[in-house]
Amino acid sequence: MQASAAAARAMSLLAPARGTCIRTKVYPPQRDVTDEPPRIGVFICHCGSNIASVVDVEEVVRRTAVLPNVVLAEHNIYTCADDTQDTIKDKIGQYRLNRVIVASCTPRTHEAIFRDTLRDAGLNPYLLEMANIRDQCSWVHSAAPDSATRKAADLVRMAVGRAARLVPLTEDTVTVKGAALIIGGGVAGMTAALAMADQGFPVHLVEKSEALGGAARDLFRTLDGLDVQAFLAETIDRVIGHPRITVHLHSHVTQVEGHVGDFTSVITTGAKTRQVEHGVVVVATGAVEGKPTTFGYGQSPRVITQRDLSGQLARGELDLPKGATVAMLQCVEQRTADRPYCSRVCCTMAVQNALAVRERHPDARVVVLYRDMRTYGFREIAYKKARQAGVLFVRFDDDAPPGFSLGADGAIELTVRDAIVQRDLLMRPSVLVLAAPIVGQHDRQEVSDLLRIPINADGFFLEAHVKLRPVDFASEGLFLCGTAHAPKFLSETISQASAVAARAASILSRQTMPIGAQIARVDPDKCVSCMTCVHVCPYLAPIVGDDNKAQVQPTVCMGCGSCTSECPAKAITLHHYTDAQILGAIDRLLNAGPGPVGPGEGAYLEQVGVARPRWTEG
Amino acid sequence: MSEEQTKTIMVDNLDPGFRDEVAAVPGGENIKKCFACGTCAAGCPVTNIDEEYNCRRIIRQVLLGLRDEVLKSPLIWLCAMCYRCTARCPQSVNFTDVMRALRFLAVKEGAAPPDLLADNDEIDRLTQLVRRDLIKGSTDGRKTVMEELKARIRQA
Amino acid sequence: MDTDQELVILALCCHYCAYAAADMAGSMRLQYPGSVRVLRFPCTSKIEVNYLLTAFERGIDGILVAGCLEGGCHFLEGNLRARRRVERAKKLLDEIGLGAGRLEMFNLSSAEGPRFAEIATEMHERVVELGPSPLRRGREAVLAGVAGMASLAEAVIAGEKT
Ligand SMILES: Cc1cc2nc3c(=O)[nH]c(=O)nc-3n(C[C@H](O)[C@H](O)[C@H](O)COP(=O)(O)OP(=O)(O)OC[C@H]3O[C@@H](n4cnc5c(N)ncnc54)[C@H](O)[C@@H]3O)c2cc1C
Ligand code: SF4
Ligand code: SF4
Ligand code: SF4
Ligand code: SF4
Ligand code: FES
Repeated sequence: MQASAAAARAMSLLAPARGTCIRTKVYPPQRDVTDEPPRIGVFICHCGSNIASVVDVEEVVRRTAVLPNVVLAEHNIYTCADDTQDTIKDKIGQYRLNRVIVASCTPRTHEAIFRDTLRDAGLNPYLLEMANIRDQCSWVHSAAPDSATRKAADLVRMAVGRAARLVPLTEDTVTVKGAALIIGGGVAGMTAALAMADQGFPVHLVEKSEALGGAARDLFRTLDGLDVQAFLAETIDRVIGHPRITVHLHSHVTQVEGHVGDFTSVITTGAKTRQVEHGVVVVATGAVEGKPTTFGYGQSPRVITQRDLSGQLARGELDLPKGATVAMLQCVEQRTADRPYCSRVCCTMAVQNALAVRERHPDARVVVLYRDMRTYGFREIAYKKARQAGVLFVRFDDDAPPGFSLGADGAIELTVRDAIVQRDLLMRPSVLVLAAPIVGQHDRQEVSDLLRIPINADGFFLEAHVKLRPVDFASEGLFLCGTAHAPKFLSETISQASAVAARAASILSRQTMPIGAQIARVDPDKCVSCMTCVHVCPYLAPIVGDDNKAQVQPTVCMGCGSCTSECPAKAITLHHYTDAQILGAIDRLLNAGPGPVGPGEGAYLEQVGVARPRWTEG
Repeated sequence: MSEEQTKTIMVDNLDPGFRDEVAAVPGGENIKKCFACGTCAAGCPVTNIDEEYNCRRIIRQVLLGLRDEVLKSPLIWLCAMCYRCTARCPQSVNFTDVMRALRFLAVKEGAAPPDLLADNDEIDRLTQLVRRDLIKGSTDGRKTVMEELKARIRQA
Repeated sequence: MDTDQELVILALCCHYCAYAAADMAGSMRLQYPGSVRVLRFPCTSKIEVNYLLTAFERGIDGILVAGCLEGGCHFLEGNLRARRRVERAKKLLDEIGLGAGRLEMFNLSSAEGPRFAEIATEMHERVVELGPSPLRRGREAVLAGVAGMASLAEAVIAGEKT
């Protein structure tokens, strides 16, 4: 994420030069193989000694060479090495191979490389098949070489079964609409907007409230002393003044259609609607403070949240009697069974506020009741400072929360067991400050339904992959930043938003982009217009056409196969994972008999369609 | 534990000045850095044989401002001055030196007899003699050493 | 040659989780029984009852279906639907007397290499207990098939190479 953020900065410097240094690789025209019987070449890799030290590679070659449709089987020390790839290209021509199997490492890392080899040799890249005989064979059976060799031969045989039925596929391209739609005008949305606009992309920034700024409007200082209000004012000015940013206040996005690179959306402002076209969507809808329902919050003006306290401190409103006790209670209504997550910022807010109270009211006792102090990173320094400033930190266990009572006279009484001296502490604080949780927006479900993006159990939007794709949604072209994703500090929000801008720019800066060919296709003759596919598809890819038959929008489909397995008429085929291809692999594994094996169609047709419509599910 | 040591602590009446007083004595400077992790007590040879002695608890009592309880306690004289806690503390509290500061304050305020400091040194010296003999004894003949040991304990 | 080694178990794995976890088990050099053969799917939602039954009909000894954690499917409910299909297939296996135990669905994340090894071992042990599938062709038959095929293939190759 930090890397993407840094890339965003660099890209905005390079914006004027974009597109001037790109070299496009030119591939030879693809050979038409449709009428040819399968001619499979199998290249079995030693991977140095990674495979060959366990698997008897020559034995695998012998067992493979005799399989039907296999015209060439050989072994190489390193199949991915440049010279071996040149050899493969030569062999493709020499033996007129029209399917290639590489038995080596995992396709997750090497499929793209070998597909490129095929392309270079004038073959369609979808005619490649891989057998994973390293990660899933030699490495996990190093103690049982015989068994590993048999398994490797089986894996290659499965690949042969599948490869014989592979067909060439063409990838569609779409024209990219170089604008961005950002939902949410908090710090995350504005930061992403500025970063993208500075790179030259038009941005629509949609904010539902009457003003930009979001949660940061109630923040005053960060731990390192940044004046948040000044920063916010400057940021808002830049956003409003930016020629490429259109701000829509009091507005909602009410419709999003299309797919990565080419969306058409509707922004509704009061009674007015406006249609916009864009290539990416950024979700920056933020989060809010959850109002506590316990410890007298709302019943006594002396029970406040950490955010209330920082406001009072900033405005000079905090009034304390001499020798007052200020009690702070951490993890209120969070890190519990009902709300298991941690809001990340509260411990630091407590430390920051505690220091400020001690500074302004040196005679006040500040007691922080905590479960764990999570002042992570350099924030530990502030925690130490607070201890040195005389703030008393008392730890309690989650199964023994502090006792609380609110007297008729408004007096607050708090007891807590100090586990170290093993005695109860009793205090009657002038102010009780609660660390309230940060919770997702109340209307997040609407955003989720609009964009078909997942919400996790904590009520925040879920990224595609926490490590590999931390700011992307699983659906292409949708991005996520700020507290909509999870509670985080302002600084973390800003770097995440910059990362989003870089990721988004990698789409927006293209003229066109290819769409993977592994997509579903409906056979209109078989379709019975039941709409099962429409409600099963996570992306709403199938639509019903003028002929009342379903059709899958190729640019929206992500190729999961859900619809194909559920269609009661078996009308849908998933390219690259057809029944024939899958059953081909299974058949070759289990039936080594000669001749073409397995039915092209499923043998148990009645066993499809266990899905119930979404609207009947709880 | 005495009744005094189990009753509820009234936070609003605590003496917040005590920890500063300890911190003002040379050696006590870092006491407020303690974040109560317990690493010190986990390695302390005295805690190991007598759980009533606990370095972390003593620090806590100081931070809470329980002046009398700390200074009058016989426990502060149990520390062996081995510096293990100091070596292990992640916050550089230097508890061994804090302990010296506490003993100094106890004597200064009359909470402990003035000659206790000298007595303590002598006990440490004798302990070292015994220790040396025990170790030597375990290498050259147990019997004489154990007799010698008993004699010395009587003498002390 | 012991019968253990002869068992063949298919692992139908989602590309995003179980397949990646199986790779990870490899990079961690974990060891599990050699009976398990992985077949990759874009998501468990692509796995049809038909594939499961066909494999059993052809004599597979056991099948494990492995998808993302519930709630973690990249295509939202793909793995939940897959589970329902697996349950249905299990019922059918019970009805025809092959036994539901030969089929199981597991959920794991891509970070759970050790869990994959565990699942593979668990399934292997279960199938060892159940013994080879009664629908399985004998090893001899398979070898005979290979021999027949070999001669056929050799002819083809010979034709091709000259
Ligand atoms: C109680 C609390 C205390 C905090 N304390 C600190 C702190 O002390 N230090 C610190 O560094 N950070 C703190 N933070 C975190 C910091 O506020 C955030 O990291 C940052 O402000 C998040 O910015 P954002 O743009 O992601 O979300 P927000 O600031 O929440 O902005 C989201 C915006 O999106 C709008 N919106 C929401 N839904 C829609 C929709 N459907 N359509 C259109 N617009 C929509 C909202 O109106 C809002 O303006 C705190 C956060 C909270 C909630
Ligand atoms: S599920 Fe199949 S039959 Fe039903 S509408 Fe879709 S394609 Fe047609
Ligand atoms: S394959 Fe998946 S993404 Fe494509 S149409 Fe079918 S259900 Fe939708
Ligand atoms: S110096 Fe004292 S308190 Fe520290 S470990 Fe040694 S005996 Fe224990
Ligand atoms: S090791 Fe240090 S920080 Fe931890 S309790 Fe002991 S003195 Fe305190
Ligand atoms: S993506 Fe893994 S089971 Fe659906």
